[in-house]
Amino acid sequence: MRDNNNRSTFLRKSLLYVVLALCAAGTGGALLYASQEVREAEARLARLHRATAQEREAIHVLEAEWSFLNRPERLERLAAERLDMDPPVPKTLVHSVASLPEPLKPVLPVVKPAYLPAPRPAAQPSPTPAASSSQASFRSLLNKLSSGETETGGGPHVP
Amino acid sequence: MFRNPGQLIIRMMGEKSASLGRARERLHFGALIFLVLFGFVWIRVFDLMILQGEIVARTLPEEIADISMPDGGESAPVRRGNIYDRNGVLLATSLETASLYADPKVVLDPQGTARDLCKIFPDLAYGDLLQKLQSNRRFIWIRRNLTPIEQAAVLEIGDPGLAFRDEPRRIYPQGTLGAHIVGFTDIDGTGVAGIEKSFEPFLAERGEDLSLTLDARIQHIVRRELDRTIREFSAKGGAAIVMDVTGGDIVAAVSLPDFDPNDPGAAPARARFNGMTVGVYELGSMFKIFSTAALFELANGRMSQKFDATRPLERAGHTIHDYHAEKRVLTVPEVFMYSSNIGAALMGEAVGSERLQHFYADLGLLSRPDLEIPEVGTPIVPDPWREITTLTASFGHGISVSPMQLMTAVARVVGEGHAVRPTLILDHARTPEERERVDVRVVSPETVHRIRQLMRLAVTDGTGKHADVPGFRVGGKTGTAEKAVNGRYKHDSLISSFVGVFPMNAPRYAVLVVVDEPKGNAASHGYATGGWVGAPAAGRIIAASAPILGVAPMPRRIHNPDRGDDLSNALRRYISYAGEEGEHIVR
Repeated sequence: MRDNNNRSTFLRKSLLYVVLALCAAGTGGALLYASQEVREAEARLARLHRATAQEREAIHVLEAEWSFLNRPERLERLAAERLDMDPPVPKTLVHSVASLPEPLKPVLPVVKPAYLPAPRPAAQPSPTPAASSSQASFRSLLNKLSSGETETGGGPHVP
Repeated sequence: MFRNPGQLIIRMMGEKSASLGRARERLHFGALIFLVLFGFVWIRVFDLMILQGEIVARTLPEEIADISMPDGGESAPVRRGNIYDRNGVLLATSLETASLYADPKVVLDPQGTARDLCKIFPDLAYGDLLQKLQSNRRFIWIRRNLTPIEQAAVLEIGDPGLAFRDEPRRIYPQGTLGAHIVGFTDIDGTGVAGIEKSFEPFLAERGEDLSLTLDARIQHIVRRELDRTIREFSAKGGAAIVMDVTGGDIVAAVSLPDFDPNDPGAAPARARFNGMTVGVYELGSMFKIFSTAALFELANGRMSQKFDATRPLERAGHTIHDYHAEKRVLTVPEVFMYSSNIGAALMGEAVGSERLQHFYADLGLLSRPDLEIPEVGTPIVPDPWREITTLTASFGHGISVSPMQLMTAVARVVGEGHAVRPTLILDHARTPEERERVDVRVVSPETVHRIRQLMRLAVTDGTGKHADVPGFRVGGKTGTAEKAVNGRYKHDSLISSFVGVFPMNAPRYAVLVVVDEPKGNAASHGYATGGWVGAPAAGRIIAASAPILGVAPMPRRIHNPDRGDDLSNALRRYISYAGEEGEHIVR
């Protein structure tokens, strides 16, 4: 009876100690883990800061280099060497939007005027003369264009 | 008894083990203390992780960021601000570079290290370096601001006594472009010239960026054309300015010879001299713009007014000659287009000493001008101002001003008639309308219009023909002055200049070209006057830069002086003008 009592007391006590020890170990482990996490996070942060600073410095260097490579004197020399272009002169400048020729009117009307007969069925192709006349007017338009008549402004009218 | 088994056991083990009981008590006590302390830890952990978890997670990164940011905090040096042109082209920036220093106490092999360093930096003297490396000091600079390649080479030496320190270095990627305006810094990064000096607190302490009114493209064009003129005429130097006459923005400002601000010490002092703002010169006939404006503004001048230029003018023991002598009676437009000194002197006399002085003062010609760089010259004005000074100052003799001052005065007379101030700092906040509101009117719109007509006439029919660019209606005035050396005018050393304005019917930009001691060449038939030297350069500058500046050319069929719609046409009838019988002639 006394032995029993003693044993249960002993068991209760040692259980308590084991639980306490486990708690202590668990807490210690958790603390260690947390502190390691923090240290690692700080190291990562510092690395990121360093990388940002380096990146920023690199951007600065690249900006300076970009400006250096874009010196007008260098661009001028390269353009003269590599491009088949001349500096703009007043003659080549467009004075205003109004001095541009009007966009050409389409050679064939996009929408057929109402007075024209309704479109024929697809089975009956349009007669050849019509095609040739539109071709002729295209020729005359080409002639007009090449003789420089567009300066009057509005595009040439096509019948 | 049964309820106290411990006592029972002790009693059973024997009385002599009382010390065991004490140990047990201490153990219990120790365990209790640990329990209490761990209890605190648990509570704190619970508090941090669960109760405050959210708040800590939010605030902590910022605190850490504050502490560990490499360039945060108050003690960290501020990066010097960049300088940009008006379009955001980088003109000056600071880059981190490594500077090499040595700790002679730690240097293992002074001879070998000195030899290796001399290989990397050929301009270092071996003897000096060895002496430095063998000295007793703990810190000596060997070379500041190394390139990355140099730094790698020094690391290859591998001497523990060599070390680097990061230092910012001022870089001017555009080189000579705008060097006199931007200025430069010394080795410690302190501004010692130009904008770098005058905006030192702004750039260095606050680390703010700055935008100038300069346009790198126009700056390049102006430099190119001025350089070409200087070489063509074997001149000593020159200065050229492009200014927005409506707002006072300096779009380009070049002084030649110039220098590379990345290495200002390499250039001679003459190259660092700013001929635009520091140099003051007798600029000659360009002053006829101002004396003519004074005649209209203050002496009720008329275009048809006649001035006797048949023979040299004698006043107070001085004789005034004409360079392009017409030897006849001239109207105002003729005086202007043939650039008659006699006519201009008579105009000045008609205006009167006091009024002419006041007018010149209003144009900013008599006092040291305000500008955002420290290098600004004070004009040389005769003191006391005699009657003869009024006559000579009317054609730009006996009074020395800087090209920048003359440019400002021209902007005031042909712009809108307001007291335009030259500025080098781009002010994004102010619109042209706002500038106009704060400005004071110094010349009436009527006079402004007449001066525009006259300047256009000087280019279409007068001495400035070489400056004309078809389509842009250039107006202008030539100036040729003999340099005064030891109080005497030298006939063979001239200051030849031209000030051009375009488009003349509604001026936007003015171009001033001043060339120091040009020599005539075959192409100019031996002439080295403003019309042959300055005018063609100004014409080329206008032709190349107008499209960039967004000035649209006139359509060709409108731009035809014979069609009658040109500004100068109204003045043609005053050329060889017969006038009315018995009309008063100013003699």
